[in-house]
Amino acid sequence: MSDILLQATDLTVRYTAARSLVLNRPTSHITAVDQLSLIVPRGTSYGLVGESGSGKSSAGRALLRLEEIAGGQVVFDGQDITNLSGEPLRQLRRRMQMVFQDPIGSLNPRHRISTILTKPLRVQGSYNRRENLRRAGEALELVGLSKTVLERYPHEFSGGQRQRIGIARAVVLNPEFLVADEPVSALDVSVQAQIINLLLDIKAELKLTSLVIAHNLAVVRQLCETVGVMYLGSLAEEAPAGRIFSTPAHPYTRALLSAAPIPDPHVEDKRERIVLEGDPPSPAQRHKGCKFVGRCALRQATRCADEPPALREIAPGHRVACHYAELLLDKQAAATAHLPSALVTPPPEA
Amino acid sequence: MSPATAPVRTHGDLLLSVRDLHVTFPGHTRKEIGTRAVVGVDFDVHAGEILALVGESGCGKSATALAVMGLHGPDVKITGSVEFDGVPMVGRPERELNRLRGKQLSMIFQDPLTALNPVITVEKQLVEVLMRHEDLGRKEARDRSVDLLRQVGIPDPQKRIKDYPHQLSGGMRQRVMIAIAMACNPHLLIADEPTTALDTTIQAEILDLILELATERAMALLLITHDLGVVAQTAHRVAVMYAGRIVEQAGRYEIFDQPRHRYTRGLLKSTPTLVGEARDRLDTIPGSAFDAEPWDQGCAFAPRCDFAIPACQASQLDLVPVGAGGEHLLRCANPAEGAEQ
Repeated sequence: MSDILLQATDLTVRYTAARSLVLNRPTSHITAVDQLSLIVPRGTSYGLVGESGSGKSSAGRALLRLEEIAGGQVVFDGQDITNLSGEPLRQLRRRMQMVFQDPIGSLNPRHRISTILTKPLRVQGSYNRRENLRRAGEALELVGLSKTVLERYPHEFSGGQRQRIGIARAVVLNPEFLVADEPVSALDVSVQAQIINLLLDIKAELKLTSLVIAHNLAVVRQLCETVGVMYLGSLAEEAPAGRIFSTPAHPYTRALLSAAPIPDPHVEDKRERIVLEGDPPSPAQRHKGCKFVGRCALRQATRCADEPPALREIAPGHRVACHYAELLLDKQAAATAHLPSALVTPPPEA
Repeated sequence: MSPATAPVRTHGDLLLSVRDLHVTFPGHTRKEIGTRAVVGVDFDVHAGEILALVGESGCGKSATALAVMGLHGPDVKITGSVEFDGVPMVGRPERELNRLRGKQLSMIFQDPLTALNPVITVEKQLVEVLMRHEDLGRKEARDRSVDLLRQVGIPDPQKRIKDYPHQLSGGMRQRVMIAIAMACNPHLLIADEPTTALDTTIQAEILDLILELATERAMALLLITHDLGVVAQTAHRVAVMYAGRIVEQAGRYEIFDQPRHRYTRGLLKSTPTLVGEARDRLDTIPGSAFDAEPWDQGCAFAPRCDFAIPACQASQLDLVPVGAGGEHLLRCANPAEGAEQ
């Protein structure tokens, strides 16, 4: 058994942007995920962060084969699943599940909780009603709900409870890999903390490997060992969680960190914000060089505009797609000036 | 410009005064009492001051804002007093409210796509406000509109002004909304979750813009948000709401450094942050505000509170000053000590 549960190589996802009038053929595309490569070791959580339109959700869905893959390869537990179909694909789905953002929209309002939770079991060919209900009850208890709620309907629950049900549905098949797409962003602060802790507990108890998609950096910091920052479909930077927040090496990561509000007025007083120029460009646009060049304050003439930066390793486990990452890191003082000193601590563990 | 340099309390005059405000939404049937969204809220906003109203969904912060603006529907029951510039707002005829709204007090909403009219150009929406309140001709209003768009940081305003809302990005739309709200230099701006729908980097820009314009024009700001990070960045004073009432109110540093109410403390501790040591687990508040009791049997937070004592069930818990200065207000029978973290 290898240490790597999931590996994506040059994963590409495209959507059709326009079709021809005559034959309804696709005429233009948006590349939502552009040659994304990442590795998720067994038993760890990988956090994918980025702003809207960065392709993080498309990437997560493509890894689960919920989105058509236009290029590249996804290997799950040593098996190439890129082109899997039919029965083998259905067998695979038992092992990988998803938690959605919207706890209201992702539960069928007309179905009882029992129906919602036993559906994955039935899809996977388990028709023993009694046994299914037992497993559904177990899943509910795992997420901190009582099995007495099986007979109730989704509208009877609060947002946090519904998200717990969504998580119960994802773990009822006892999967190995879980994709959580913005699992807490629709929830209130106090409930958000409960769900974050629940995800941590479940991860430990079921030895889950997971990919957490979020725009909130603090949430990812709490949940994940490794963090990848996406910009326009590609990874701008990837590093262990402790390191990416203390030593960001990509100008975009730095801007993102400096813009995240911190609930401490003393920190807010001292910090310098890096303002990005303009809006993120449309993913339909083609880029010859670095995708971030238009908004980067550190860009150098011609090279950044002409030559796409490769994602290269600058420290163990720390990969960055910037020609001038070292320049940034050399000026360590400058690189961390925008961050409170408390943030510049050595990573707790890799 | 940084909020820290602004005085904690400006010497400006009292601008908005809210006393014992109640907002009740109608029930589905005649017999039903309805939902009590706001159950007795008091606060003041002074000229040039930024007051943040913080709380989780359903705590009544938006209902409070809409009551101040007089924007609730006719079947929503509002009692208590809201005085803006010494003039009562509750029960005022719509015609008089219309003269005030957009001129002396205006509002920015969370979602700029639904708050802007999708079938009217940006120009028309801006010119409409200016012509109505400022007695300007169409051409002057248009020139002023272009100017306003430039002030809120929209590039190429001459061209953008002809756009429809859907042609603009989320950040640009929010800028347009700010331009409309600021068009007549209001004394008070109410911003209801102005950056919640936006991406992190855009959120920072929009907050900066609102702060800059507010400071420049000595405008008071009532900021409604659930995000404690946004509060730390902007507010002079902070009021924390729970189940329709303010439970704690204090200056910006005080509320973060020495929160006394268990709910405020719980909120702060359960917020994941980028600062400091990574924590293994977050502290949580058990239960959810969803099943918050109204305030009839004492504190509404008591069922979720680890420190509840019999006194919490007392029928009346008032918002009273604690400590020196009288700036820190608290509604709690068993508050945390100031220094204890």
